Amino acid sequence: MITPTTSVAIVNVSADGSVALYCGTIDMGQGSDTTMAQMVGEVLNVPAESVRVVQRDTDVTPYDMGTLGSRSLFHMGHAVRRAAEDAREKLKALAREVGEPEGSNIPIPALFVKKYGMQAGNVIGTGIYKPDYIPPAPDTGLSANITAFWMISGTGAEVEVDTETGHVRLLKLVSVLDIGTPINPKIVETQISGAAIMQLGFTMFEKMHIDGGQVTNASLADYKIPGFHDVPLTMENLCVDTYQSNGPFGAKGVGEVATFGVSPAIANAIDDACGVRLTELPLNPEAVLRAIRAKQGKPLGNE
Amino acid sequence: MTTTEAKVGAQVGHQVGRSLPRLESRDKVTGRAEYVHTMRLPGMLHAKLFRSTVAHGRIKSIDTSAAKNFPGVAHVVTIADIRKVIPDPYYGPAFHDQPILADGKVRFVGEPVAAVLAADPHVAEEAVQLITAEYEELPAVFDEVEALTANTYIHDELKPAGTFADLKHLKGVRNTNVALDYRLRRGDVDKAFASAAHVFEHEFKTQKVLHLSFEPHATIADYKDSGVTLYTASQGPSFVRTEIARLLGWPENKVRVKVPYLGSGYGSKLYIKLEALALALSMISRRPVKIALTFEELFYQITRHPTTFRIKSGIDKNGRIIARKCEVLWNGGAYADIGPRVTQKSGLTASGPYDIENVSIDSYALYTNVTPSGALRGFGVPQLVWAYESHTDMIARALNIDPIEFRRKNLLREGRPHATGTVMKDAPSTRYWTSSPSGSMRSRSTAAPASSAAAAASVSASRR
Repeated sequence: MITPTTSVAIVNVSADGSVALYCGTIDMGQGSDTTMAQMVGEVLNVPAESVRVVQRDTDVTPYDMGTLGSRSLFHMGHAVRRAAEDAREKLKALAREVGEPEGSNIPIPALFVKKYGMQAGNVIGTGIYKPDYIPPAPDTGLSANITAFWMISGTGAEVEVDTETGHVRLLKLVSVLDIGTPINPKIVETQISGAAIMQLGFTMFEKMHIDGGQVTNASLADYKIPGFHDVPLTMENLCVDTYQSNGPFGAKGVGEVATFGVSPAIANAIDDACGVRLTELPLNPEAVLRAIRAKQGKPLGNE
Repeated sequence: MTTTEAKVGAQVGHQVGRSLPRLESRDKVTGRAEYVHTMRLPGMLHAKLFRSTVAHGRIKSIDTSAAKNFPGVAHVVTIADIRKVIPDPYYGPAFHDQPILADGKVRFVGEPVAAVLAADPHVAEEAVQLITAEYEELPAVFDEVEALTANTYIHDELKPAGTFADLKHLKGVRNTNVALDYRLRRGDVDKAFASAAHVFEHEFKTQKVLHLSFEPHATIADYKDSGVTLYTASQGPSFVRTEIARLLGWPENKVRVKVPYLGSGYGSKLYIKLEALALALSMISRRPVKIALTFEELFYQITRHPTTFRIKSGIDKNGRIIARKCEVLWNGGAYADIGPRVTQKSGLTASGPYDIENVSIDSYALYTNVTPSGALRGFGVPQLVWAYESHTDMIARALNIDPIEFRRKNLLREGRPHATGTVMKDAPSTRYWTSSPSGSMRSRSTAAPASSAAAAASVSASRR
């Protein structure tokens, strides 16, 4: 469902030269409105801040499969790029039509006035993107083209284990990602730290306790998520210098990528620190202490 | 430069590559950004839900009389009322297996059984407390390993949505909890294991966790005969429109889905969640209806799959992984949601980012009697990486090979085929593997007497 999926975008240039983007990607805090506006700005030579990203409304915004799977920057990014390029070509055609010489620097509002005699009209560019894909063969699961891009990351963890209590202190967490060339480096950085900290909660303590089918900790008082004191003393969020050859402006998605390695990196570090191997999440103090005591030949009871 | 000065051929400098602050940040920090959770429509009713207290059971009776008579209550709704407006009230992205309200059976604790509508949400909440239900309890299955072989079945028959070609063969299948089995076969793993110098086998588990978006799920439906408008905290308005149009038997152009900003989603607000119920309640009441979950109710909406992952690797005398066998069981809960996609799309990455000639993967989506599981930031990949990167590290340590060196030796490189046969392109240079960004990746100890410190790394690659 994630590949191959479809995104459609519309770029609308008004007669005053202002630009609106219609795209179905949902900005839920990941900053997609900003990065999409940057791509429009890059193509149309306008500041990204001046691009209006229209609120999502299926009566107005065209189809998008969904904001998921780190797909938006790649799939919708291509659709947005194409829509902006389409608008740019139409503006150039308009300039030729009204008799402007090739390479003319005529302001966009003047172009519309030349065409329509007043501030009137629109130039509308559209873009559609769906990557190539070969579905896996039913019997073997094999495919020569299973994905448009891979999400690649590495995580390093440095921990301190209190062998008397099982408490694990995270001294350092390093996330290194290949996300192609970032469209907005600051947003990429916060996406990396956000993803890593979220997965840190799933690694160290988050767990729905279920007893006979009944969730016994269904509240934020009893189900702990990471707080400031759970964030590692040092966090490094890094991207390698790469260019995604089939991505928009060399970029690809980032939202999920920093989650992947967090859990095993910490478990591997705990093993390295005190020689115990945990094979079940979360790596809470009880689990760590039980493993340490079992290794010492002094296993804890079940009470 | 202002917008109106923009020129067709002018240069304002590169926009891509700027660390531009988020365009909506001022609206958000000043409390002016729009969210469904704080939205109101004139004449709107609030819905509160009466939920199942048993994990698996037949509904013998539901008594809504006291709630109906409670002052201020507009409607109390069960599946019988919903069938009058939506004759086939089942929805879902992969399987049409989820009833808008419990239909004859309940399949997990917390499943919505009845809804109370009132202008005042507190009135609706209080009236919910007056509803009672009697159940004939059935044996329940909670664990994914148990679900694979149990003869307790969560659903009488499988109902694939028809959206996906690889689910069609499951239509009408009975006596199973397996909603999808994905398999990958490359080379000959058994032969390779027989020739391996070392064979390692481990089992890993992950627990049930959830998204906990700061804005819980919220939907307003405003139904009119001329068309319906949904205001919903959704990550996929196009899908919502398609599914609502299907439930109504309407063309998509009569369904309008509006989505303002979301207080995060992480996969919890994908496909269709509260939208079908909000629609049905608005059809019944002929008024706009809002459903907004509490934080407590999120534990009964959607979660991440717990997993059991059995992984086995064969290593040759040079430290090369020559075979890997993966069996992954995904605990999907009572309704499939997007679980079968997680099972397939992540399943095919289960052998990790390594160059292995012989690979076998079996990945099973399983129904159980707990809150449904869906997509959560990684679409299943974090559960897999947890297992294969722990396993890889354990092998390196057992063979006395530096864990980083072991990974470098086996990593999938540019131009080499992944387990699926797809050739690796745009691989980052392995020069990044020579040292960590902060220096040595090797472990070090601290002076603290009752503690020690260590560093470790893991790598992963996922497909999108």
